Amino acid sequence: MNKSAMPGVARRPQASKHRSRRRKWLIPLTLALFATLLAGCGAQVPPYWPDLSVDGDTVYVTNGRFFALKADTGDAMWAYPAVEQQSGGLLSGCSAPKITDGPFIAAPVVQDELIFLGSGGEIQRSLWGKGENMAGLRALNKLGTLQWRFEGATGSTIAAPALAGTTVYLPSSDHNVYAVDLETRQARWVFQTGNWVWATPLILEGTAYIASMDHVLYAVDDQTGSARWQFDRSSSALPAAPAFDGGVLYLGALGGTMYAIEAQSGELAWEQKVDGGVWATPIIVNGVLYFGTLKGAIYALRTTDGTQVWTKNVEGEVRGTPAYVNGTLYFGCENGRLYAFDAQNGDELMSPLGMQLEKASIYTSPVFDGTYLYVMSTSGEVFALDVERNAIVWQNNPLADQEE
Amino acid sequence: MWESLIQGFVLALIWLYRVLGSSEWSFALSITVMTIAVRLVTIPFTLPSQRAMKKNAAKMEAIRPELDKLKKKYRQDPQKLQQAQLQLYQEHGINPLSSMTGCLPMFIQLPIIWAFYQSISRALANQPGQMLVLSKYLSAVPEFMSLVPLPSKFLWFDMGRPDKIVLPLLVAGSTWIQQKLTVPSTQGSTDPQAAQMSQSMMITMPLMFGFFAMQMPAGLSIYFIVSNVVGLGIQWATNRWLNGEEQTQETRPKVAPRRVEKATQTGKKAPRKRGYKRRK
Repeated sequence: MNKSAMPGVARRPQASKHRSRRRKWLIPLTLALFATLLAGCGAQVPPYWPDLSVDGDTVYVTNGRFFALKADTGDAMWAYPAVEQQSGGLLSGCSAPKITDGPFIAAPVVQDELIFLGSGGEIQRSLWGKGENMAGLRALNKLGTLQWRFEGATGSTIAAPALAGTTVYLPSSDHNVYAVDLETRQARWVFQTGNWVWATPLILEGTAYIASMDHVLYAVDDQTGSARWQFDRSSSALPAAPAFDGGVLYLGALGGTMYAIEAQSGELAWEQKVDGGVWATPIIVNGVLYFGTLKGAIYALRTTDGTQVWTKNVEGEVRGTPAYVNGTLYFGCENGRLYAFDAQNGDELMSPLGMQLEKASIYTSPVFDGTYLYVMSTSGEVFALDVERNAIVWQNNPLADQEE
Repeated sequence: MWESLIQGFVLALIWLYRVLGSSEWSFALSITVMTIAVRLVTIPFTLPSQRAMKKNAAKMEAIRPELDKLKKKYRQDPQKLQQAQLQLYQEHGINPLSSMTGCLPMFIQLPIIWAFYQSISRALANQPGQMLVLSKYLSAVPEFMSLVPLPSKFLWFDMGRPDKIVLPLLVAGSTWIQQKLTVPSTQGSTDPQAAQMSQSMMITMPLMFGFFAMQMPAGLSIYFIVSNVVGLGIQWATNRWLNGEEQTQETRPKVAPRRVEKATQTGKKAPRKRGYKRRK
């Protein structure tokens, strides 16, 4: 009998050939998979943190999507966009959900009838050129239904828009601020800066004050969009809006300086070096300026000359604006703690959150609505705190609830 | 440790950016200079293995006729063929897994390259979360804060965003050329598996890196392209050096002829090769 005709003998070299062919691709494909996983997941830094605002009996939360919660119970009333399609993509950030609009990063501004929300999305760039524009402004009614869109912007909106009269001022990462007329739904004017605008424009007495990442603060006529003056003495980027008190603007810079600028002329009143970059708008109470820095320093400075009233240190970055409630300041911190300080002397008080959040930071500015203090963590958990009783009234993670 | 390594690279990139004039071109130049430096620093990790692979390949070439004979002899019995091949490898001091162990130094240098790669992405922070991380890194040298955000426009592209056509093509092309230059050392190999693997790497790697370049910030594509070009130079220099070393070993006699002659006359032992080498 011919040996090669025997089944077991004849097939062995063939099987070996197949194995070899498989092995030939095994290492390159493993290497490719390994590199893809590293590229997709390893380099990821969360691109933004959630935001929070309160209007009447509703808490508005942006965490990629936009949610409306009942202020007294924390129950979700609605979400925008309402339907979410889940789709994974290794290179888009390890099973990142696909959302039909947005993402939404910044808190909204609310009018009587409408909610104005800046989109954190941007114009989609594909192999064949520009695609769908996800940037711009969304106007929703109070049931969360989209009424109209403004798509003039091409970059993402990182900070809440500002509302004055019948105009919404939309800051954008495309370097521009758009003054959107609510009647025509078109931009009345567009003001271009030299870099991203990550700060909410401050609208005061006919002037829009625009802090830009190009290191310049611009004062712009809010009707025409023409520049009145610009303050270009900051040596670093300006990621947050200025605070205003008694004709002076107080502006923090990422390089670690607090500036006091005359609102009329743009002249520097005083400047104070601080330990760490300032990302948030300071809060002003009784002639004292309160803010935290990215090195965990908490400052209380006199608005008159920038001299120090008191200073404290916490363990972690302080990014948000503090909330002031009955003589107490509440600061969120990178380490997941909510710190409470006596505004008079800087003594640390008991925190109403009462615990350190695990694997989460508090970068979002806490908000007090007259009843509760609302705090939000980077994990998306929202807490309503009773500061009188130092107790948690409710907590809810709307994004997690929707995904379940 | 990992974060410190990335922070070190970020600070070095931004320092170079400042030294190079803080202009639109400076960050691209900074990436180029740092990539060259990183590739040169990682040479000691790759050189010994390349040397070992080269030697192994030469030995394999020498036993090729014997291997062919074994293949003919055990054509019908792959198991016995494998055993006989292994025995032959052992006799000649050949490591049949040299093509696999050759990857080891690549994995050792991967963390350095990976940290550098991440540092480019982080220095180009164009989102708030990334800017927060960058601010933390730069707190070690506060005056660097005045340089951010870095200008990301360079030539026709934005270094902070993916370029969809030209850069991916350049990345894939340069990866392919580099692979092509590396492959000949294994193509002549008698190990069919190694040769097949090299062939598949020739296709997979350029496609994979081209695909990455389409998805990732264009600043990283600059890194890939410069890294490949520098890699080509290093490979060329290494091949030249190793070939020269091989030729020297082939032509060099075991002991110096004059000394052997003298030793034979006096009836003493011939001097050791080391002594001859030192005198030379």
